Amino acid sequence: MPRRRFALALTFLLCAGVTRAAEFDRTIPVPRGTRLDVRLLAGAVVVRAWDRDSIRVRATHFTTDEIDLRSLGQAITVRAQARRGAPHGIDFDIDVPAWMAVDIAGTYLDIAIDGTTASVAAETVRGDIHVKGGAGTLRLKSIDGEVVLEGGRGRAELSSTNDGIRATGFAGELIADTVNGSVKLRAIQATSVEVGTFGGDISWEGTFTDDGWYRFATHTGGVDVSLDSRVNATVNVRAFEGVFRAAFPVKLPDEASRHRRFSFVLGSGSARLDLETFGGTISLRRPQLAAR
Amino acid sequence: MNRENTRVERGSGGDPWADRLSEYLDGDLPAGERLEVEEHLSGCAACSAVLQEMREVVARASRMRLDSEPTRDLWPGVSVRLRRPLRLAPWRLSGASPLRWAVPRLAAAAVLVACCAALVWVLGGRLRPASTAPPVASAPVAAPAPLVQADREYETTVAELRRAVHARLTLDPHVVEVLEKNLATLDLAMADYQDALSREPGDAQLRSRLVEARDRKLELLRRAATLTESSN
Repeated sequence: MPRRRFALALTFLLCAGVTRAAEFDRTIPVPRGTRLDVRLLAGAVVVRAWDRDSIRVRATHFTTDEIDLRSLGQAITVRAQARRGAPHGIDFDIDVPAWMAVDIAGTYLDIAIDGTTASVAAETVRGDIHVKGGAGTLRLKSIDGEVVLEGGRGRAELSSTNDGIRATGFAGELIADTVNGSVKLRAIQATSVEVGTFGGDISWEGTFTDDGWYRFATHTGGVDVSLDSRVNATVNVRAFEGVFRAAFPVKLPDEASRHRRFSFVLGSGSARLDLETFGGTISLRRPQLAAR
Repeated sequence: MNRENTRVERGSGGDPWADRLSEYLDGDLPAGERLEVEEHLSGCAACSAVLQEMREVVARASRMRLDSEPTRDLWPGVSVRLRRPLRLAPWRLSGASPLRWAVPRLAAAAVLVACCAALVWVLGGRLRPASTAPPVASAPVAAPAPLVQADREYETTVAELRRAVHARLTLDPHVVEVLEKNLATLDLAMADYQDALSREPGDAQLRSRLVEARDRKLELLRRAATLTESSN
């Protein structure tokens, strides 16, 4: 991960000559219902699910740093602090039971979580977040880093302020928002999707469930939506100062070009699809005509 | 563009008029659509009930403003108390810091101010008397007094949070740069919405987007402040 290089560089700048390394490797049994709670300043955390009811934490760190792993009520907590000098970036590898809920937060932290079947909360200021799987509430937020979700089900809240968001194969309710990043959603099976960005594009490749609600809104970016010919949706378009175009026949009201605010119905119209851009282009196309 | 095979509907969802009731209540609908809404209301119990509820909310909010508006500006006092911990001790990378409670307070204040600002913003449009003539497009639109107050509180909170975040991110100017870049994007978007609103002051969707952008700006700063505090 590119952020890891930054964390390491920061580490070397800060440590000023203290270079001895130490290994941390501990495994502790955990009862069902326990969650993992990690709070770190910098580095990377890779969490993998395994089929044991125990948690294993491994890390290589400077001898001046201290890793604190403890059982605290219903949580296993992981912390690190410097005994002297400034704290360093530390890379962790953590194996957890698949049922274990995971909550990780940091400032300069890359986070990767693979294979869990429980809820996930991952938050960082600068770093990428990559999650495969998960169930329940999946809350992934980075200010300066990409957020990627593969698979998973439940309710996903994805946020990346400065970078993009990608989600593939997720099922459930999805909220994705960013300021300057783009949002790419593929093979999503959702009854409710809300996507917002200000400076980025939004693209959707997937199905629209009857009675589902989908909202895609951007300020200066474009909205690119793939619509199957069998879709049943009421499409509400608001283009403000932007442009609307469709790669298939759509009947628009006479005043559409003037107001840039109109609705039309496809099939039975049971799903609701709200498309909005202030200054970009809203494009509707068939799945086989990839626009980008 | 081919206009066959589809039919045009106003509004959205099951009841095409349900989300136009707010505009109807505000007196923002053209005469023709207003008549259509009234015709629809005469035969739709659900929409009539929703409209009645909206009228009651507006009436309650109006009474609440008259009864509970502070007689003086409370913000300076709140702001001084929020700032006090920041003056007492410098930020430390590790160990217990007096700042530990400053960020949650700022965050809570931010959320509170955001909610108040959003409420005032929405009600500011709702509470306009129906008989008021719409402003001329080219004339500047004066913000109502509560909005000015909310704006001031909003800007003060944003400035406080910004200072707190900058203080914690001195080691990484890149993140500060990223934050500022994104705040600038949000500022530009807000300026566009405000500009558009000056031309179409009754546009509820524009107003909603403006509130969304303001909330997003506060949320971004709050999150950066909280994260940098909690993980150090």
